[in-house]
Amino acid sequence: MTKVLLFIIMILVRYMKLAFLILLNKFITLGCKLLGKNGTVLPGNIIYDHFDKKILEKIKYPKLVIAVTGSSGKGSTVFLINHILTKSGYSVVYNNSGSNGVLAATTLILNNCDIKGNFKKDVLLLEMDERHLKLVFTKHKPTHLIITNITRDQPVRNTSPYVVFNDIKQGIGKNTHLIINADDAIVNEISLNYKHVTTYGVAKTKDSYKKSRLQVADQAYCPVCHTKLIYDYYHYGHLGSYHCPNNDYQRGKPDYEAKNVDLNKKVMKINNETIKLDNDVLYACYYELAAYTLGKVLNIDDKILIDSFNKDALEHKRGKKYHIGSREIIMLESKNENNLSYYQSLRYIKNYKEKKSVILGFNNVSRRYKENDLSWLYDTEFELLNDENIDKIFCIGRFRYDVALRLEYAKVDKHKIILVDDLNELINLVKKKSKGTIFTMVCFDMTQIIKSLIEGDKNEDI
Amino acid sequence: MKTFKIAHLFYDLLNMYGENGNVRALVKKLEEQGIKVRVDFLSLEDDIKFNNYDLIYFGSGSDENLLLAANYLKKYKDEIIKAINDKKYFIVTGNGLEVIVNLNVLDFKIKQIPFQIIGEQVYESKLIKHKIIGFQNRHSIIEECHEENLFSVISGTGWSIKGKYEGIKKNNFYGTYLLGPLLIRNPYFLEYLVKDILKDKYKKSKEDISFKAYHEFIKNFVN
Repeated sequence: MTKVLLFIIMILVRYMKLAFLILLNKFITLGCKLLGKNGTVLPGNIIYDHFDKKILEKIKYPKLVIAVTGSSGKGSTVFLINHILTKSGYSVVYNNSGSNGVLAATTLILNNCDIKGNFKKDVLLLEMDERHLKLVFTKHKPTHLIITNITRDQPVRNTSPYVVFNDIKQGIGKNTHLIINADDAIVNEISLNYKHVTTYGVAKTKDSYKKSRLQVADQAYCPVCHTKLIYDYYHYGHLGSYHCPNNDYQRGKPDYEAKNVDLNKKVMKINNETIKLDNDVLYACYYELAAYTLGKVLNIDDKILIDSFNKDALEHKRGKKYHIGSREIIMLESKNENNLSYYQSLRYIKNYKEKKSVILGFNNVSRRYKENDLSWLYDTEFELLNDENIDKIFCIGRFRYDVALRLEYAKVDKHKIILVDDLNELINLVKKKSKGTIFTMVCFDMTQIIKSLIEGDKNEDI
Repeated sequence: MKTFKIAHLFYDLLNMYGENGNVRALVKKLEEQGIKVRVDFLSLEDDIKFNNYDLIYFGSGSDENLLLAANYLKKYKDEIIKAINDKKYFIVTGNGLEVIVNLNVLDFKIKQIPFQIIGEQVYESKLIKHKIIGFQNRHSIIEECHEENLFSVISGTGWSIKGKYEGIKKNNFYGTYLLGPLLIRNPYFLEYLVKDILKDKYKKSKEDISFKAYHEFIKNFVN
């Protein structure tokens, strides 16, 4: 009798604690909103760090728990999946704020539960930081996990791509259906050890190349027999088509492959269907292909799936355009410490065939930590700025000399490089000393500064 | 001077933090001095003739890749000892030092630790008067080192966590836990190396933008 009573009390305490923490989370979120803050991290921070690190193990999750992780492309993939699933009639909760760590996930999940911990929507869709996936999915694992790519990214924090890869593996359950990018020779290694795997990849395009550049191909050897992998072509970094000469490991033919990619016309073909691209860059193929593949795995109606890309596609948030006087300025956000993020911007600029100028630089390497590791500058192919259509390159920020030095190593004509010592003079210098469309290739901190400078310039004109 | 030959070893295995920059820095500086330079990129599956090179470089890698490289170099152990004794130049950066310790060609030991040592480092060296700046990211420490140190720690981490010294120097072997393009970031150290290689053939050159980048970093983050 005593044991039964004790058991009932324990159950009550357990439920009460859960209910208390869920209500506290909602209360703090409301408080944040009333104070004009977005409140995506703080509530989760208080609950997770100060009350219960295992709170997420007590949640009753819906039938579909989809996580998207990888070094880049997560946000765009999640954005599209939400669109497809919502159109298909699912109620979806996802972290659209861009906060993708365990604290933001805790806030989001608890805010969408009733006080018993029952998740209230059909689908939990999470963009997940690749190092935090294992912290969110300690006991319950995602039903579906998309891995977009694993590349050199924030070496201060992540060390090597292999450390990231090992962390991701800890978030996978034995029943998790993996949707992976087979072009990525690190990610695809997962297909050697897991059963439920669906792959996607992009066939050779006109921009593919045969020889690895800057020697930064991270998976140069077969993970099984350690023989050098043969690459038939590269898309960028270590992404491409590869095989082991001993047949121990290969990209093979992905389950879903994008063919006939035409970035000028912004189209590609999957399963003979023409799919529109929302951006004229190769990585758009990847995030659309990832979302498409998940749609097929979930048996989403073909018409709804294809219409999501072709008829009612949502406006993409990147590559925003502004004006300085009559000249267009295209702002390409590039993530510091991620050579492939910069590569995408560099390739985008290279593909623009008219007269142009570039603004490049940063004040801080990271917004997460104080360290200023500059090694990634030499993993990034700034050689692409050797382009006769480029008129001038403006180097800005506290690391402008390091950036200019990197351009010197890339053998960019010294006469094209302008060092901007006073950032307030940037717009004047751009107006007076350069020609053509202006591209900014900067990280988050500089984007805000440049936007204010453009705004200030507009006001002066008035 | 005859062509200066550099072997960039394990360019596709131990090259994790833009470390190709170190070879590029040497090439640029030597060429500015009018020296012809040849770089051979060598890795597993290549026959490495240490005797054919004036300078051998390798950098950082994942634990798996460090092991692959160390196992591959085992058959070259005697040649590497001879090359160091013959005063050939070796430059090893980051955790590439773990490859050397696995070969037992120098007198120091390395112990793995269960956490990462990450951070910016400021050192000084008897070789030059300017400070050395750089970055570390490792999960090992050097123990029982009976070799000469390369740097003294001003701030940051040495051989061990509270160690006063960092790096290894024996003849013309230069090894350091500092990773990334440290020869680009430390133009005075690069200048010292090139002077040492060329001896009396070295011609004083004008300070380029790498010196400005160095001083700007010192001004903003060190002093």
